[in-house]
Amino acid sequence: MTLERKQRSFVDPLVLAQLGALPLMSRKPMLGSVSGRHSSPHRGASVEFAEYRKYVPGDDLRRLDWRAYGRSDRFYIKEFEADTNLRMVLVVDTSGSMDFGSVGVTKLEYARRISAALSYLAIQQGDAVGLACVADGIVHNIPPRRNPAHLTTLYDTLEAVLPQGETGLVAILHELAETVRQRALVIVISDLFVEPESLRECFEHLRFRKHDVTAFHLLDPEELAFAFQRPTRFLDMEGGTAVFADPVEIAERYHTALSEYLEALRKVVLETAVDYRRISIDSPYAQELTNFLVDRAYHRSAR
Amino acid sequence: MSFLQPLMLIALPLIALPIIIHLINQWRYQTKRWGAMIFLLAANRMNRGFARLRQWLILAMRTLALAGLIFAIARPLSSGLIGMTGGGKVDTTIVLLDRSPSMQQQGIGGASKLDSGRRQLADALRTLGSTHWVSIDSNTAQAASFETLDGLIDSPAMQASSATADLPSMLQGALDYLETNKPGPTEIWICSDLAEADWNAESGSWSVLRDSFERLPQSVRFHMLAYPSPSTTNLTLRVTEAQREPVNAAGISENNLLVSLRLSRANEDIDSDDKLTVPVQIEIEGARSELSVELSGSSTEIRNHRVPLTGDLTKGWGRVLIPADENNADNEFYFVFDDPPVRRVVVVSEDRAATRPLEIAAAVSADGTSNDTVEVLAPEQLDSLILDETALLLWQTTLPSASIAPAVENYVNGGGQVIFFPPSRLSSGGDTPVNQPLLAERFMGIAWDGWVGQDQKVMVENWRGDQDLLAATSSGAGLPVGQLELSGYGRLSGDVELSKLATLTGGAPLLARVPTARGGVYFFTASPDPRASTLAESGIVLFVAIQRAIERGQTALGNTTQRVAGESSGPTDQWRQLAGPTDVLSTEFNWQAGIYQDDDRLFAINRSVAEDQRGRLADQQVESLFAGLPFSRVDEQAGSLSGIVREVWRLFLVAMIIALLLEAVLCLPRRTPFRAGVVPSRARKGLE
Repeated sequence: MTLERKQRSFVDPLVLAQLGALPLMSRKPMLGSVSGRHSSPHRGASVEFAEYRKYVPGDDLRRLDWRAYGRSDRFYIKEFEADTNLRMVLVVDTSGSMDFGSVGVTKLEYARRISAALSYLAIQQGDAVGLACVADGIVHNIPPRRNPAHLTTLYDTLEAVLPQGETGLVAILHELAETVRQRALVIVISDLFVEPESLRECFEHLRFRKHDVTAFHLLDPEELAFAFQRPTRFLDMEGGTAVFADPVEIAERYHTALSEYLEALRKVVLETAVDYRRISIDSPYAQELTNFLVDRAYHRSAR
Repeated sequence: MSFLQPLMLIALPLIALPIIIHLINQWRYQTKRWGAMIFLLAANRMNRGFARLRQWLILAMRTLALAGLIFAIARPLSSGLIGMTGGGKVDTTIVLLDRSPSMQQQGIGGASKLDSGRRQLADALRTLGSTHWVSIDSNTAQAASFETLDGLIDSPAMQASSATADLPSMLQGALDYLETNKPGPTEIWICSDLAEADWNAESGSWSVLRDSFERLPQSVRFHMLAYPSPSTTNLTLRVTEAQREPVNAAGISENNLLVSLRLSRANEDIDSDDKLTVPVQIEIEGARSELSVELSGSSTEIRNHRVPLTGDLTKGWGRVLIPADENNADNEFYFVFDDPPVRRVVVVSEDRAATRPLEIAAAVSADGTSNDTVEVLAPEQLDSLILDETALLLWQTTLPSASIAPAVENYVNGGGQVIFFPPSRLSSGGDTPVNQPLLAERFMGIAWDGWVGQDQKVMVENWRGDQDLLAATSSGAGLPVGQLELSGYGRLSGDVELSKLATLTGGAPLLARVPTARGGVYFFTASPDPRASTLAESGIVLFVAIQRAIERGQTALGNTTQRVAGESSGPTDQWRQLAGPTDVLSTEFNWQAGIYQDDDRLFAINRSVAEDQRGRLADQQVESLFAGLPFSRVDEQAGSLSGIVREVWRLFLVAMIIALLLEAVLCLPRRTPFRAGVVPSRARKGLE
């Protein structure tokens, strides 16, 4: 019996094969349910020495360090790091503005590709993956699971999601910060078209809940360059008021507003310790993910 | 602002092209679905001051560039003469150049007002591209046409003259030309220094001229190029009298010349303590001597300065001159001297009793000296009539017969003066057959036509007080002609138009002049007989008239003549110049200062007294003279190097280029501020 695999536009096996060799690491200790490749806040039975502590009655005598007793005539228990898996929650923005794309691919499609690749990598290394598709509310919310069959559910959901509605990212991030169990890897994939100051509170909330927050900020090259020549009537993809503008006249102020926004956002993510990735969607997502994973592996936090 | 190609201004609406294109561009907008509305809205909230200003500036620059191009093509003129061309083509350009001595006042760089005016006029006319030029000679007020501009500028009618210009006459000359030749649209250019003497603003002919110009069917525009700047340091020299010294009391006769001269300066407000020593050179027949004159105040007069004459020189010429100053035309003055001729008067009388008043009036000279000789002839003695060296002929008998008339006519043509009075037979006999031979005689077309005897006294109704024998005195007091009473007067008939110098009640003349080329022929219709008129009783009129006639005759007889330039326009082809400017045409001798010789006679020609007066017309006066006529004026200075009319299309072209450059600078795309390090990957690749 042959198993027919469904072809998905946002899953590229070649990219997955390239990325397969790279581990997806967290920057913070994670709380998993089973053993994994991430550090845990608790002591466990791994081979990696953590610390000595004084013996208290009831401790397992097998873990008493007799050599230390011999040297100091005191009882010390030898402790080791615990290895655990993690819960990764992908927060994919599916608001109307994510449907924009001038380079043959929309921001949502780009978000799908990133989400699919990261999901694959996480599940492959035994981590649990959840998905929250958000627009003006949470459109789909799939709790984290770590069995490989869950990947199909995730992909189906990603495939089915439609870009519509306004961006309600701020409220949803607050909600997810509370509902997702502590110490999870939260990956936000969005164009982040909200005020940077309101995002600060969200990120601080997530950090307070000891989540490791990563933000993939997707921007279209046309949004960055704003190189129009003719007067244009800009229709809001999220249903707001249309704006008529002569790009020649407004371009400079647009760029000023964009720069101010990006500068403020950079400040927010620095202050809230968010792993911030600004991505122009005309760049290959495989490259961006490679950079992301390599950075993570390099800057893996000490236990 | 005026243009040489005003039709090109039709293209002016094209300057709206950038605005129209802008509006079309706005209208052809595209619609785009857009995600990053947050930035657009933020950009809209920002202060859009400069950005909007930039847009308007770009539009303005484009509009300016187009306007500059169109204006440059229309060939604009920079000139104070607003509306000069009026957009129409000018058919004829009439130039009225004031050539009077005051126009030779020098300015910057030594160029005179006349030179500057000629040059600036030439430049202006060349720029305006007029094709047919007419000049009105300021001397003769005659029009002369020129086919080339150089011909006009170099013509004698544009060179300096010593005669005072008569602007009303020149304008009349222009009017005559226009009425005769009926050209199309005409421009009249007047170049003058606005001297009162030249303009004669009080003349009644101005209003007539204005009306006449207004009535002309073609368009006539007046442009004035004025040089009104007064002189401040100019000195003026004038000889008031030059005569040989009479034999002195001791009876020793030394051959000296007494010269009286007046030196005055332009600045009349000067303090009398401010003294200036001026070296005055006196030249007699080529021999020079120098005299230092101390000038205090505005004017100094030297009376009877004695200049020794060589040998037995009794007749000659001289001139006085001072060093060069602001105006060289009034730095020298010419004079001639000679012993005065004998005042010889011949009275031909058929009734000594009646002509006795004439004899008395002729015998007494105006200055009291009595060197006059009065010779009385009866009609039957006419065979011995000798008119040589006769200043005046008084004729009170039948008009000269055919045998004697040629001699009298010759005498008149030589400058002699004749006054005819009615014969006694006419006044007593009237139209009786006895008088038929008397009435049949005719002289120069005029004959006695009878006697009009009246019961009532005949009065004088009006007379010419401005010129000729009955003119008012130099102090302005008129002669008491109106007080004359006549009991009868002689009628005149003839085929020649007489000019009436005095008219009786009823229109008959009291004194009439027969037009002659030279000399004077007068007819008094009143008898000098005390029984027939009060001519003798109130003798002032008779005395003054006879004395004036004698003076004129004497002047004609004299070998030396002092004339004001332009006073006479007689033939000068026999004249020879002895002193004066060298580059003068012989036809212009009458109007150029200098010493001229005609056989034995010497003529000294000088500028008029009015030329030494420095009055200038006020601006309002000039405006009022041309009130109702299309008139524009530009004031210039002597020696000014600028042209009054210049083509300034280059300025507009430069303005257009500047506008285009500014537009380009404003349109330069601003460098996108990738301050936050957001570079689209394509751009990043380009940078690498």
